[in-house]
Amino acid sequence: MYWVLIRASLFRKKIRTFLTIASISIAFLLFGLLHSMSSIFTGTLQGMSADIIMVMPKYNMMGTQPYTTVEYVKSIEGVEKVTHMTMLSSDMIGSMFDGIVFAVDENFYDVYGRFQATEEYQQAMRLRPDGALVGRLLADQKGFKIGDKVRIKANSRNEDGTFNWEFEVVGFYTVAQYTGDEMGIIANYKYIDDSRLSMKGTTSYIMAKVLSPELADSVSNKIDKNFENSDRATRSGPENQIAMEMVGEFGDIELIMNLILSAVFFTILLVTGNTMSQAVRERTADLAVLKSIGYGDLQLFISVMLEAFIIIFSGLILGLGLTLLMIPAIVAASQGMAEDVLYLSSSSILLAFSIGVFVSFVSAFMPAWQALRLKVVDALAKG
Amino acid sequence: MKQILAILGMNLRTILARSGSSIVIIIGIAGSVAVMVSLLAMAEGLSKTIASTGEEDRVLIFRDGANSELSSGIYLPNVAIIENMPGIRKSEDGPMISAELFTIIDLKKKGADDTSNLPLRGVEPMSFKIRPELKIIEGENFTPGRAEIIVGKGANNQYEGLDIGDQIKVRDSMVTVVGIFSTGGDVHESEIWADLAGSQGFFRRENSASIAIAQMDNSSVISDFAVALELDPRLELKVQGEAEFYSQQSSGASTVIEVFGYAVAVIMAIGAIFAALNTMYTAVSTRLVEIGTLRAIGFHGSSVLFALMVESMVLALLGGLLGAGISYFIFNGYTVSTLASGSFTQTAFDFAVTGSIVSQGLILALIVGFLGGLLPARRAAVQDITEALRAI
Repeated sequence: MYWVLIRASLFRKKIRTFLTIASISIAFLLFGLLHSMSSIFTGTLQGMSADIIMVMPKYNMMGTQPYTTVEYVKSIEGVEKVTHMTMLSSDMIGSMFDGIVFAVDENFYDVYGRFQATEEYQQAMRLRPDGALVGRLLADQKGFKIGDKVRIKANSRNEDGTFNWEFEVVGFYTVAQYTGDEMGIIANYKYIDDSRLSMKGTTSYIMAKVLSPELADSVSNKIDKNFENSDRATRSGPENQIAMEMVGEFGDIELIMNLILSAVFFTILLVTGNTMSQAVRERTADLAVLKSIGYGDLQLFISVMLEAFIIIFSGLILGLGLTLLMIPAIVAASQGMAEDVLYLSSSSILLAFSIGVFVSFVSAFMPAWQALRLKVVDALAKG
Repeated sequence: MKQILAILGMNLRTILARSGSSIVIIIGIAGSVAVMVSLLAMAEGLSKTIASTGEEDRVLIFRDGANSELSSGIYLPNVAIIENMPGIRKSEDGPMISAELFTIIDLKKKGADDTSNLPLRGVEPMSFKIRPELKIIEGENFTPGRAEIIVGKGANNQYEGLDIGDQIKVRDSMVTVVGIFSTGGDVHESEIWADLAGSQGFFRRENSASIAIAQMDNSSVISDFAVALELDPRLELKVQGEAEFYSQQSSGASTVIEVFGYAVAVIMAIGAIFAALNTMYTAVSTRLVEIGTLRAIGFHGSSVLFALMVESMVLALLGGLLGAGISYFIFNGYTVSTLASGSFTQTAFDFAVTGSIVSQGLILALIVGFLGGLLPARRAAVQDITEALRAI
């Protein structure tokens, strides 16, 4: 019964219905896109574990810490295994797209499971001290093959007294999640540390796997406390939390995002509210006729409300659908860098639906109320 | 023309009567313009702050292979070697070159729970001669040998406990803030400055610094100086123009914000076009009879079209102005800080709502107004007069 009424009113002005749905779907497209990027804005990257503790130099993200810190971390109760990585190319930001070069110990893949290399490639690294594994994504982009030479300018001197280092590609590594990390090159730590003249016995980041995630905080605090106020002060924390803190330092991006979304939704509210009140105003006479032939007040109220729901939810489904279509396109355009970073979580979808319900209510309530209160005599007199 | 003005006058005077739907256009456009202007103002402010740092005739000397002050290191004996190379300007106090130690300390931002990093620059007295733009705006300069620091205006604004007389802990030492300085709005205003010898003590960095800054005779001698220095096998250093170094640093983050700003604004504008189309269709359909009447008494279809287009664009312009205004009043001069690339410290900057950004916002508004008005206006202009009048 409602359907007849609603269909009639939706198709009464097809252009208007279409345009309203279109502007709402754009709003939800924007909502969807911003929310699918929220893992970047909040640093809640998938695949970052709660039971891996990162230990970084406190005052200089690109700095180094003595290797003895690795030994100290190993000695703490609750720590299962420890590995570390040493950044070799000095400028992370500048070299981001050319590949970051870092050196690791043999147990790296075992402790830090996000990075993976086949047994064959790990064996090749053991056999060749100056070997290097190239990230799959970087290899695909730059065409690295086994046997290629990689030359870099590192931040410590080689045996020949220069900062130039050369490696030979012996294989490839992949990353389970967050494909952007495949833009790197991994070398042998032992080889680097033996042959470098400066900065011997240092490393950049230490990764410790704890026995259970509940221990992560206390172990991190213990490490930081131990080196507090020394020139090797550390900043430790579960990997997932450190990632969030680092993003936080870029500024309050979430606030900016929420400001944009509020601007967007204020606009939708206005557009739909206006459309609905116009639709009701135009139909005053029709509504009066309906009432006089026996439709109840409440029935008309519900029919106006349902009309708004249908308009808003059509826009919502269209907008979120467009988002889902666009995400693979953006991932492809980023050459795979955005994979695992861009995704629409079910909580975002749920939030979109609750916003949809809220906006429908707020925008349709007044017009629906007018329909409810409409006095047949007055309305017909005007018409 | 007269016809257009007549119709336009009538349309504009009746906007108020149709305020509900007109506001939809205005607010819809104001929203997209405000978002775009704010994001662009943020990008502009950031790049202005970083790119305005540095002079063409000054150079920074880094360790070869280092791309930032933080990863660079230079031995003081090497600075003594460079000192007498040709190209560096001489003053009565000797060659204008100064070694600087760039280190990081952490303090709490106002209202924050956790600490953030900010740079502490240890400088020699010559640094103040090389950088005449640095002015002490409150208090006094530090006295070498005492545990005193001066604080940039931006750092003073953003962090707790950096007012004159406050004491902060730098590693194991307590130091006193004795002055606040300005450098004309560049990145150094987010820094803390101290005596070089003192900072080497705080950080146990005896005999070494991070970089050296030199005032050259003029910018044309830089390339010869760079070649001479880079060829010296004792040094393993490299030279970069100061202005060039900072303009390279500025590109990354502000480009990202800018691209993001344009992308969001374009998507919002598409939504605003649909809203404007909707409003203008309604505006036309409620006035079908009036428009039909006008046509019947001899007004041209083209005048009707033109007048409706102008109406839509006037509304759009109002929306654009409103949006730019909101963004200007809320954000212009608003200070925020973000992570600086290369040093991983906080750089404070002000949003800059410039004329060119506002005009970009207004152009966006006019495009939306034009596209939103075109189809409805065309429909009104070509409709059958008899049909329109029959609606009575």
